[in-house]
Amino acid sequence: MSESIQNLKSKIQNSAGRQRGRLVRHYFVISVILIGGGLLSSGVLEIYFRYRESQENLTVLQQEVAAAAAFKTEQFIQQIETAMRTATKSPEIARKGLSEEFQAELTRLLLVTPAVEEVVVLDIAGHIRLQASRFRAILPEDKDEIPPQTAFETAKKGRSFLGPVYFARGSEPYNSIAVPVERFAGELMGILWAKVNLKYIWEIIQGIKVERPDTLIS
Amino acid sequence: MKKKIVVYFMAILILASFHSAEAQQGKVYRVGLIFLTWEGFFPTQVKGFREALQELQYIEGQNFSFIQIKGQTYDEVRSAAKAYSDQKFDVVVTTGGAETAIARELFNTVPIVFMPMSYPVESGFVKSLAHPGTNITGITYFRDVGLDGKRLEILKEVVPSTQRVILLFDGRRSKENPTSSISVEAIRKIAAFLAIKLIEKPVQSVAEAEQVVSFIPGKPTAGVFIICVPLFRDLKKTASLAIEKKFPLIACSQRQVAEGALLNFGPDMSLIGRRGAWYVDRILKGERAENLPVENPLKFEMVINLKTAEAIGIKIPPEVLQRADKVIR
Repeated sequence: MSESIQNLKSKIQNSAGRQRGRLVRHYFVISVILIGGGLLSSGVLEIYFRYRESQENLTVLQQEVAAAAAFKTEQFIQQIETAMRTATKSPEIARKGLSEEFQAELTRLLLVTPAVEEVVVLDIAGHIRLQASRFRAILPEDKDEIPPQTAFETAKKGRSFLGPVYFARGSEPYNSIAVPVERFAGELMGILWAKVNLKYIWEIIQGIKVERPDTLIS
Repeated sequence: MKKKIVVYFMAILILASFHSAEAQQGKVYRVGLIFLTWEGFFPTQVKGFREALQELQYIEGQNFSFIQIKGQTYDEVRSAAKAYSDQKFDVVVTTGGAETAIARELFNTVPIVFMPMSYPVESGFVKSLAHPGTNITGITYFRDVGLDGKRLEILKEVVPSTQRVILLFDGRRSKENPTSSISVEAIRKIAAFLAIKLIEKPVQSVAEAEQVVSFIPGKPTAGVFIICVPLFRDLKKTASLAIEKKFPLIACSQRQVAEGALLNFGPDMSLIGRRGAWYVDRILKGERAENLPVENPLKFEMVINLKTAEAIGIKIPPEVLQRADKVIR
């Protein structure tokens, strides 16, 4: 009798132990799921916000690089235009018009503006009067570089002309600039047209380095 | 069973991704450089090339291996290159037309960058400058034949009294020299305009060029003009003969001016090397050579040797001297 009571007791104890074990496992699994789920969701959220943040930073960075590049490009074109306008203000022009003496001014223009490859001076009737080239000898019959009509018409009105970008032999980017040549303000004699190698801009733009999102150094 | 397969598959995938990431990190690019060199001469562009690659974070011994394939003659270069023909390169770089021909012959499946060569389209190395369409691209030496005319014009400006010019050009018909005749034709036109009488002398070797210079009687109104091809890479003796005969000599490189020629007007070779590094960088980053347009050199320089001017008894007009990028005194 006492034996059977003992058996019953131990059975009850075993079943209580098993129940406790199950309960612990149950709690463990629940807490793992809760903690893991919490960590996982916070991790995912963190990744998402970081991604958003880096995307925004990148956009700001790209905008600043683009702004710097646009500024440099504008500056580059303005410098060439200024050099061309300066060339047209030479004393030779005032005294002798589109004479041979102006040729020296064209040579100087090529010397001080490396991006300019060819310069052509047209008179008011549109005839080529003078030419200079950095890379080729020009024969009198050469008509290789004729300024476009729009350049001529715009510069004739006293305004500067900036042509569209085009590719020479499909590989080198160029554009052209034309400025009026005046004896004095309003007295037009012709136009000065230049063919500009835009690879020089590329060199300048490549020099732009970004240090921090809000600082640009070139 | 299904579970096991999935687990194995996942494990393999993870291992493979680790392996490829490691391989990418530890990748050492192999660049072969084919060039001609001899005592006292090392291509200037190679220095610019190496400097620019370093700036682009290609560090020799770390992520970049630079194999120099060189020789004193083209035969030596070819046999040196043959020794490497079974090796794998990521890019092969050359310093001239003949070297490019060797590269094409032995490394035809590898992207090849020339820095520089003349007339790549006419020589059949690329289909067009804009779209090479082959595994070859790079920097072309001459902008076009107009440059030879410009060089003659500069000779006339530097020595305005020039009335006769001995025109030395490569008379051989070979892969090295596909286009001398195009240049001769262009120079004839410019010479007629500049009122210069041309004495055309096709030569087979530099020794023959030296003979020509030594046999023609020296006159202060005569000059020597060379159509630059690799044949005329060593003009040291020709330059000293020209000084002896009081001939102004327009040479093919800054080095030759430093060695005694009167002047040169040509591209900045160091910048060409730097641009060559840009091509290599693009190719190593996955671009195809056939899509990279052939470019012209950005900067040309006029170099004048005043010591030679003094030795041959000419006075260079100050306004021309002012235009020179470098003056050797």
